Amino acid sequence: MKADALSLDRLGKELRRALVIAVKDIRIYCLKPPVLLFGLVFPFFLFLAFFVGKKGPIEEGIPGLVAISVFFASSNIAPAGMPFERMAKTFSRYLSAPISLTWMVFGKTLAGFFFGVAVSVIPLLVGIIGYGTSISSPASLVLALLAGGMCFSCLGTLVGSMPTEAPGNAMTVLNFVRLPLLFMSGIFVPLAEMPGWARGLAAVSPLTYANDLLRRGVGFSGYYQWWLDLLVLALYSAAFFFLAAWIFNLTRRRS
Amino acid sequence: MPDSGKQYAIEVSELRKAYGELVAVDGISFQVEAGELFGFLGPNGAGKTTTVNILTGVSLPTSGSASVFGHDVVRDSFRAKETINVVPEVSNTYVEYTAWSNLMFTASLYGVPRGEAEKRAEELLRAFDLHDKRKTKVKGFSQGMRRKLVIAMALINRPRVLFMDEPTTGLDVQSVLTIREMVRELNREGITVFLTTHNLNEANILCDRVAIINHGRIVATDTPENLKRAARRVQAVEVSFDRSSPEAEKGLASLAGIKDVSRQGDKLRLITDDPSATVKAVARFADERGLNIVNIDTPGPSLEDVFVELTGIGVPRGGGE
Repeated sequence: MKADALSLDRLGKELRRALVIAVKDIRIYCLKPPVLLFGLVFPFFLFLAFFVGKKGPIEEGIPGLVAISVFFASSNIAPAGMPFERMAKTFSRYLSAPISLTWMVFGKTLAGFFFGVAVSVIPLLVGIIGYGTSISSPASLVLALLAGGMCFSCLGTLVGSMPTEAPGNAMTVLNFVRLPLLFMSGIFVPLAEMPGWARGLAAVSPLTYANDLLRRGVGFSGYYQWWLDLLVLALYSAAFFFLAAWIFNLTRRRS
Repeated sequence: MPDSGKQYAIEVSELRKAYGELVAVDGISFQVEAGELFGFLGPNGAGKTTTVNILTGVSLPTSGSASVFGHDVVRDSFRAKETINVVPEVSNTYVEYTAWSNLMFTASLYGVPRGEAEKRAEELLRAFDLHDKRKTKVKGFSQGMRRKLVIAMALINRPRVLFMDEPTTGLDVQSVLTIREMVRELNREGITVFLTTHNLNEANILCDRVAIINHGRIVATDTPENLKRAARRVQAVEVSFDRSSPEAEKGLASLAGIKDVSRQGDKLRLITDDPSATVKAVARFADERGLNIVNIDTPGPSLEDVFVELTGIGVPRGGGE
């Protein structure tokens, strides 16, 4: 059975079905109030409030705004959608369909990834058109959006794996995790200007690495090596994803 | 005795599911033949839904095994799930989607090619009288329409085995009759149907065979008629008088040989060991009290009687399904 699970035919089927789930999730959940409120409106005003207080040039904040956008939008779809699906009992449709649990979780993660990357293009365009942001390293920018989008979407999937039927519960937990990660990161205060202890804290937040790569992409200097940023984001993604898959499986075993 | 060389549509062996100390399914075994309409009966909490959840991949067993057309539901779940589809107890459609989008999504999830899915969806929407509503969001559908859509979604991949969990619960009479006819038609087309129900009448009129589960164990598996024959000692006389009288009910209960009296609508059902003597006694009783007998019958044991006898569940007086 294991050989069958690794056959190209089987992998192709699983990937197509994961994409079907991702597209369905985006179509259904991207306009749900929790997604709009906590994925778009909240991070935008949070960022605006901080930069108005700081009185710095707005163009310096563009990479941070893009990083916050991808962070909030990517991590929002699964925690907003999964409780609705449990409540409407549509979640059991995936479990009885010919798709393995891991690929189903991947489909859910892809939805957040696509949504987050798409949303992050908006502040980027605002920066380019309105504030003269120039893309000095397209590769860094693209890698930052892709790796960041995947990492934060995996974080969202992990929170979405919580067996609750109330979207409010999942969003509360999500924000309980997201806000400290945001304030710890090097978005509001550049890493180089932080005291040692704060830099140590910032190193814990995956947002720090996505922001670092993004800054390289739009002409600012990075604090870490680009490959280290990517490696840490990849490791966080894997940890969040497999922990989420494990929780889904555990819940199924106990259901 | 199971035939070891034969491939069954569903084969369950020593299946067990425990949640800590609580054992929901306690080592059950049964087989369902291809093309059979198999009823799975039991009171609430007996282990019906747990069993279906394991067979359809929603839950995992603690021990034992189950397979669908030879594919183990745990080790080869992908293949097993390619051959089935499910009509769950709750009509779990995507209410934000139209009927058409729900069907297309389900088809994609089961790997049905686009062209074939569109053709099949057209057929199903027409068969289920939903074609006019194909572009309407499910949010605006009645319960009966949602139920029909869920069944249509379950047929989009032409499953070899269809699991139906309480398919008619909560529906109006017309929808119930329509869905029962659909189930018969699907079974005539060769689909194996695994029907979970607590509606004994439904199981009696639809199923080729039934299994009765209670406290996680199967207490009987046979055709409805064989089960009724096996429960011959549950015999009854049903009588209705020209007027309803609580005294009549009490009086009949005190007659010799009557073990129980229950009201069923305008009828009184008398459980007895000797129907012939009871009919004579009821006639005398009616004469003495000035009651006219509108109808008197000696029906055989119903599936409900078998169920009550095997599960030991008491039916409230005048109640029953």
